[in-house]
Amino acid sequence: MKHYFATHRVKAFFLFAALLVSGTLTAQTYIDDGFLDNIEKNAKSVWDEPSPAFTSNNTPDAWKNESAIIMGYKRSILFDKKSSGGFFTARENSVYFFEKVRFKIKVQDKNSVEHFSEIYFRYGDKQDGFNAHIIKPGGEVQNVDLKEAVSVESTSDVPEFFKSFFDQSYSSQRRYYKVAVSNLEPGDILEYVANTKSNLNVTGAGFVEFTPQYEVCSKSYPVAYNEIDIETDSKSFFKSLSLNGAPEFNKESTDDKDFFKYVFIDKNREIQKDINFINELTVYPVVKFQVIYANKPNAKGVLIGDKGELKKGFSREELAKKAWEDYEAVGDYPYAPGNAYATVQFVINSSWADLKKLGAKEWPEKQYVERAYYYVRHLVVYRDTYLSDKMFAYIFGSLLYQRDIQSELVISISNDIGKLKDVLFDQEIRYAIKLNNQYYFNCTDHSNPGDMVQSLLGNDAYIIYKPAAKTGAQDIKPITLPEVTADDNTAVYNIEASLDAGMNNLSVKRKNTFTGISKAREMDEAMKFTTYMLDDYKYYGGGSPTDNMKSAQADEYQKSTTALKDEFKEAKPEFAKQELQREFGHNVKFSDYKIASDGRSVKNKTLDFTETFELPDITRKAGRKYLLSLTGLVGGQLQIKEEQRDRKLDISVGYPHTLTWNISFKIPDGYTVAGLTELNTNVENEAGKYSCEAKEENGSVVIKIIKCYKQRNVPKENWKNMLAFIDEAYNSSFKYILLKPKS
Amino acid sequence: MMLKRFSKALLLLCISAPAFAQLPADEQTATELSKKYKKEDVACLSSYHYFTFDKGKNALGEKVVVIQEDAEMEFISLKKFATLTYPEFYNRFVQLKVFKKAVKMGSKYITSDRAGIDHAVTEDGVFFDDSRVQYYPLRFDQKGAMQRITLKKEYSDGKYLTRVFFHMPYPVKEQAFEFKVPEWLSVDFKPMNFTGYKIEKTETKKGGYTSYVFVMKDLPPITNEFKSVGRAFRDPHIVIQIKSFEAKGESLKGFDKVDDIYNWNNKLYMMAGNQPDKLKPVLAKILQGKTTEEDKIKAVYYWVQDNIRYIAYEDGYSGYIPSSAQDVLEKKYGDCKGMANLLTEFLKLAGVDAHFTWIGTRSIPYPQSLPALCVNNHAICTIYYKDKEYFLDATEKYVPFGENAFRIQGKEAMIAKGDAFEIKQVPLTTGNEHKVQTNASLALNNNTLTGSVKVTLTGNERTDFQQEYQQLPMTSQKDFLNGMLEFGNDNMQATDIKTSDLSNREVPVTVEGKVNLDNNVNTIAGDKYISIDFFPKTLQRYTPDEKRVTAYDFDYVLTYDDDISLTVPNGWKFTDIPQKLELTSDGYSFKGDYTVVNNTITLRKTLTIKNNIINVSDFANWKKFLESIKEFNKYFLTVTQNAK
Repeated sequence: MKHYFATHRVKAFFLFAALLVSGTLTAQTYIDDGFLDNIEKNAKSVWDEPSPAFTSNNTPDAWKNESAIIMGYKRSILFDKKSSGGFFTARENSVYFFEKVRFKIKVQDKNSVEHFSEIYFRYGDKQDGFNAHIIKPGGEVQNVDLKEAVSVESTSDVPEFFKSFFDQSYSSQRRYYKVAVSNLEPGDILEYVANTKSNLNVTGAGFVEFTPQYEVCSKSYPVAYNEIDIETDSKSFFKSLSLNGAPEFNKESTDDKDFFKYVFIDKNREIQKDINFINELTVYPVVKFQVIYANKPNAKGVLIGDKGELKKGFSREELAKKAWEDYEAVGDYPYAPGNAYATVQFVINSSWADLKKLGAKEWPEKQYVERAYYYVRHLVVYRDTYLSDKMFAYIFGSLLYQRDIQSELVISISNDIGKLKDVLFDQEIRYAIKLNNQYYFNCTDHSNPGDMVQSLLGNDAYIIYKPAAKTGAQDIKPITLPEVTADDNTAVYNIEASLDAGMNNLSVKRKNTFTGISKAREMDEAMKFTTYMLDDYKYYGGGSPTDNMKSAQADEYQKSTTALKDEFKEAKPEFAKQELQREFGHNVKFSDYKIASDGRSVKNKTLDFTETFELPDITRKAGRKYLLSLTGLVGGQLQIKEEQRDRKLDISVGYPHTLTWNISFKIPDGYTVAGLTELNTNVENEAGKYSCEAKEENGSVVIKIIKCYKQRNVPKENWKNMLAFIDEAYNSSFKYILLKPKS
Repeated sequence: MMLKRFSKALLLLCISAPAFAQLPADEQTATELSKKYKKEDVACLSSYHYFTFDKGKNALGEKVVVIQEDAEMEFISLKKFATLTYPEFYNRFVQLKVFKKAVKMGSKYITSDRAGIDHAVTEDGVFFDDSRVQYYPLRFDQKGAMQRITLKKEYSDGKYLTRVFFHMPYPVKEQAFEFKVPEWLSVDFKPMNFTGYKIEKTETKKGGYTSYVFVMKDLPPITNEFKSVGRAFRDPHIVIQIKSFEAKGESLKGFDKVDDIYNWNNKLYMMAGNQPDKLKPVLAKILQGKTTEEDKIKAVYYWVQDNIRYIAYEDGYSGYIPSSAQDVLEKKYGDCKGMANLLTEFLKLAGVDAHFTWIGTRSIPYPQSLPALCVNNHAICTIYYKDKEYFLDATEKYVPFGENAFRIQGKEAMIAKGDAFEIKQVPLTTGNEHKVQTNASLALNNNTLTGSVKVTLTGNERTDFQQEYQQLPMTSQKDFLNGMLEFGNDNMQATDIKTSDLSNREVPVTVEGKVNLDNNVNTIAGDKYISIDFFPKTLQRYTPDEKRVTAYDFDYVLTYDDDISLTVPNGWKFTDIPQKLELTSDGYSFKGDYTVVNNTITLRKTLTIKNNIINVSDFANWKKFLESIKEFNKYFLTVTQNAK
């Protein structure tokens, strides 16, 4: 409730809890008067810069019905390790960032007025500047008074258009202020300029990589003009790649020969509407770029070009070389964030020592490979973060090496980011291990050796080898990572259902079986609130944690595990109930959840669990007859709305997969069933399939429903094929069968 | 570094090397409590708050009563692994002087060196205020382990200690409030909602002081339930009323009578520093062409609604002193006090008998006769026009003159009249004045229903629509209107939308258009089964389960009125017509009836929520009511060919 004044100060505990969760903790001190003396004066230089794109106050007629129009958005960032610009005295151990922003938006309705009623700015240094004004439709300019600005406690609440580039790219916590904009009304133009200085201590650092930027050209409002200028000194390097039709960064000349300037300009960009089956970065116009500070022109493990070069991509030799250098360095990384004492190599050594104690030297090679994988998985189970691909490959590859098993190192890129030729940042390189004909991808808490990973399916990849010591020559073998089919990734729901005597509530026993990537996507939910971690050691042939404990310690362990089991026993039914309610969009009375196979071993890779529950008030009445939607037991189906039926972008399904529902419904005593033939349908094409077969058999209705996404990627021209089976599945989910009394 | 979604396993890492040995001080107590409070992880064994009173001066330089609160809470873990976050709130008027956590080791408590974590807790919708919290996460690794919180708070002006509640978000074995009142102070402790609870009160006189002690035992945790009636309506609490005090022989007033509250409120109101002359140029423009008093009132009221944005600064006394009218006008934003102030000043200048007014919204149960600051939480403007009071709330957008938001209806308003004041009640309305009326005329074409739908909104339903619609981005408004006619049914598609004049807040809102509904006709063995009752799930969320302990507060009253007809082609007829249903009770009613004329069937359905509260004592009846409606909603019409 917005309208209360301060007598409503008694804060409820729940409000506090909600604030902690939602993270809306804000404010709260007024801006120092001393800041106000400088801040507007410091901003003057930005106003004074010639900016033709910002001179007009007119907007295109085509956008008159948009909520707001970004008339101009210009960000200029100068990276400088030396004294420059005359603002300060240089400190040799720091890289300085001078950032200037000019932003101009026309607010055309009350919604955008509300959004820009509060504006944010940074003030962390006496050279920082900020000034904003509004331009009324008649041209009158009204300055935004900053004297009632208040500090913002958490920078995470600062909206996109007000956040400094440096803060976004280096996650720094700077002092931000916000101020309410007086007299802002629909039809007004709001414009602000900001200039800020930041610095980063790089003493002893060989290089500093600033977070890679993916600038998607379309924003939440149409953009008339968007410019990004990056200027670097000779210690910083710049690389950029434009994709899917986005404009490119161009190199421009500068007055100082030791500085390099790169400029990106995008104009008249419409907004993108949300649609289904999209990989944003592979279809939307996007420019990716990164600035790297490096002490040396060829810093190890960094993908950079030459001094002053606008690097737009890397040859496979460059990629392979940098990937190998980076991979080789992993051993010295801290194993856990913030813990510099336990390096990855230390963990590998102790892991190998553990495995040796278990007799690893004597195990057959196949068994050793599996157990080594499970050992790494066990490490992951007891970490609070997953391993990076690179770290996984290094640890697993090293454990194989300890047993003289020669594996190969594979590099690729995520298919939701692009193609291998489009790798621009070393963060985009994915790593895996290949042994004989088997690939080993990064593990999760539940994966098995050889499990496929959705984001790497069918990607181009290289197998890379250690460069020759003398010549540096490196063998590189291009390969394609394996694809999967819809038969590899399955979800099968065997459902037994019956109505209660009141013909009102449907009892359901559902056995769910998952394989492949379908299983991987289901595992977190299925295993949540189960104690899989307690006997995870068995998969690598380890002993119980209590084996080496003294009795007091073992007692304590038992108490802990009992407490954990008790807690999970209570939490699981509620969690499972909530999941089912979400799936069916209907109240659920939950009874039981049993896992027959958790699919966490190579011997049994299938996830298999049964849920027993009741869907109350599920039937509809027609006189003495009842109607029941058994096809509705497939849960909510995707609906493609009218405005999405004209497809302009290629379709990304994610992974091919098949869903099957085998429904057996016991016909209530005293009733006959009708409406089964009306359920039968089969739509199949190269993109997918939906079929439903219904029949009466031994006093039950038996229905088999199959929905299959056959292809991972579907060209936009074949959208009609997708629509054919998706529509059929959606429409079928509303069909009913009729139960008629026999007498 | 990608965070895992689940890392409970990490708990086990600590097992082999416990960080510190908390002993299970009273595992038996924990076991007993855990049987009683099965869902709770932590309980409070004892919670003791000790209030002492002194004399001082507030920020305005006035002599006031200063209050110190010393409190100690002892917590016990009911499970092996348990956590509880203990928060303590403070602001400019309530300073948190001491806040400590201690962990019990053996028989002793060891106080932690760490300070509580400090944060601002500005509510959504407030731009800036002084509300802050310090909190400690209490983590236990043994069942029966104990921790203790101690604190010292200082109320720099006793006015701001308005009330204390007994129940907490965790179970409390014993909750005690002790007030040590000196002879120079006259204070009243008003028991609220004590009926039905066992609260022991003792009064002891000693050494010039009277100690009042309130003790309540075995308190369950407060529950946070969907649409729950406010705590102050149901939970026992004490309202603290400092009536008067003596300082250096002088008798000084606190809040003894309503007049005292008024005088305090009015004093702060007068500090706004209005300069009416500065409002005149804008007012002249607003009133241009307005000749009658009513036209002038509406012009000003609507202008403030439309042009002043709600942005609240509530820092210290700025939470109580309204911004000046000229400041709000210049900035075009303000909070409820600022808006009410501007509206009042505008109307006064326009010659209207207008008055600044304090009011408590319906979330507050107290009458104006209770002299305490917790009675009012909102500010509006009252005018006297044609021998009647009108209550104008400038924070409510798109409200027509003469209508009031439900949240202030039935509440007593304290109307400022210089040295005097008047208390008047904002009129209550019935569900029939706030209607969602739906008229649909559908025809069966093959397996699709086509036709037209018209939705008419009146009263608060119209205002709610306007507030939501007008605030949407222009690009979303069309979808919103379509949604009005599509009943939340994904298979319904509305086209050719027409509306009433949405710029006129005084007329009912109508939205009408053509509709096309797929997947609503099931053809089985030649017959068709069709539902034309589109609201089966409307009240589902308000069905209380066996665990529900608090009454529902809908926060509105209204009527749904549906008239939906379906015409089938000649040669087809309706069979198995559903029985009519009529249900009436004090708080709610329902009437549903299908009638057939030739090949057209019409469903007329009316649901009225007459009372916004559904009490726990009425749950059985309410559930029966909902079940009956659900049963009525279940019917599909059977359409067969005449030849059959």
